[in-house]
Amino acid sequence: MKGQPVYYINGIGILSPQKTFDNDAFLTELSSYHENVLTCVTPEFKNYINPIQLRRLNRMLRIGLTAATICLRDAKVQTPEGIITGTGYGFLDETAKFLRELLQQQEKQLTPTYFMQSTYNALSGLIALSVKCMGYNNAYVSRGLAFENVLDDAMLRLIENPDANYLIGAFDEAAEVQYSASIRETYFKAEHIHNLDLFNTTTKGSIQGEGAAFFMLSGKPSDTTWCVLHDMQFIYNPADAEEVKNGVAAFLQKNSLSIQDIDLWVDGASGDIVRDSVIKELAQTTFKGIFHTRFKHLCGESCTASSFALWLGASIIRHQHVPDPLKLYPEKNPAQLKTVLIVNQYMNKNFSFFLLRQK
Amino acid sequence: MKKTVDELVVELRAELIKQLNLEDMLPEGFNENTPLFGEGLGLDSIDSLELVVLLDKNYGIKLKDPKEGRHVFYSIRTMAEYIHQNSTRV
Repeated sequence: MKGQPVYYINGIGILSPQKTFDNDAFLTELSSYHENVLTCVTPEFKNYINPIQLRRLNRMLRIGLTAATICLRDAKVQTPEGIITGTGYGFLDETAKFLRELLQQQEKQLTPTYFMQSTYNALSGLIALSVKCMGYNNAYVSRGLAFENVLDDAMLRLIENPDANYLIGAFDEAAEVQYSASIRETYFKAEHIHNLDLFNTTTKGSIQGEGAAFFMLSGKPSDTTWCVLHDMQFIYNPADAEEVKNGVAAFLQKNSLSIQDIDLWVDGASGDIVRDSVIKELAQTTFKGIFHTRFKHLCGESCTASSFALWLGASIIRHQHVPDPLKLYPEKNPAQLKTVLIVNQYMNKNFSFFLLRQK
Repeated sequence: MKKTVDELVVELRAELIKQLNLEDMLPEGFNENTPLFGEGLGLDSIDSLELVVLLDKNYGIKLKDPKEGRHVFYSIRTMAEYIHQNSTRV
């Protein structure tokens, strides 16, 4: 691990189906849902966005801009050197409105707002305008690895300029159009379940989630540092579980760690009896006996759910505590929570590993 | 029967609030003579595009000269007067 660049998470802002917008409270109360669509718990937007700006923003832009604002305030950074966002599907609801109007109006007399707010880079542009950031601005739209691509980009940039602050984030919305299509493909469960019982189900599909999470990433620590992001890696479409197991082993070896060095691993199981197969195998083999938690019963499944996992891992290290409803096995907290490994999966095709350590 | 300017003022006010999400945003003392842009309501260039589309969609009026727009979109009353004079749909 010596000589390898490290990255500091110096601020976080996240809006999710749980009450996560308050950085001082760490899952003190859990939101439960009796339907398969989990939507964001939001604060009063007027506390974060000026009313003139607020009136034209759609729900997801409000959520994204609020999360980014919370992150900037948390990191005590006014203007970052760059802004990078990632999304699996972008603003699907707004895209649907735009396309509907296009059809209804026979491609004439289209209102500009729907179009502007349906573009993938609308959020990163909006944040840049809000904080007057003239620096690097990019948006990745790469389905289940969108957030991982954002991180990859920021990490490469920080190697060149470790002093810089990059505001990086991810967002995906629980859009109706995606829900109906996903039900047909059995990506989401056909039967209604209670979200906190997600991992007790034995059927195909997960539950739909959404959220926006922002992180201030820098090569230098600050007095607001949550934890260190030591490394991140992803695998696309592995041939079998063995390839993922070998990937985990190589990732740990690259970082001079063994499985026993991991105080907690966070898995990205989605409650899908079929698509969780690799994660289940990892739990029974590679990570057997390692303190363990999972998160998708809290935030639902989305292309960028790994951003929720990164917040969860960083929060656990910061608070040195795993909330009781999240404990899986063994139930007793380890003596320390210094090294956290997140292993996320999306559709059993996109796998990513995040290694977090205490500052 | 053709709508009067005053009827159009009432109709436009409701339409503007809906189209531009101005609910809870109207400043104290706002009326049909308050300037929509600048020191008045503070609308911006995107709003002006929305207003151009609104004129076309609801009243069948196509504004082609940007200079004309400055006068037409000065206030709700100037919009109502312009629609009253130029629209065949009211």
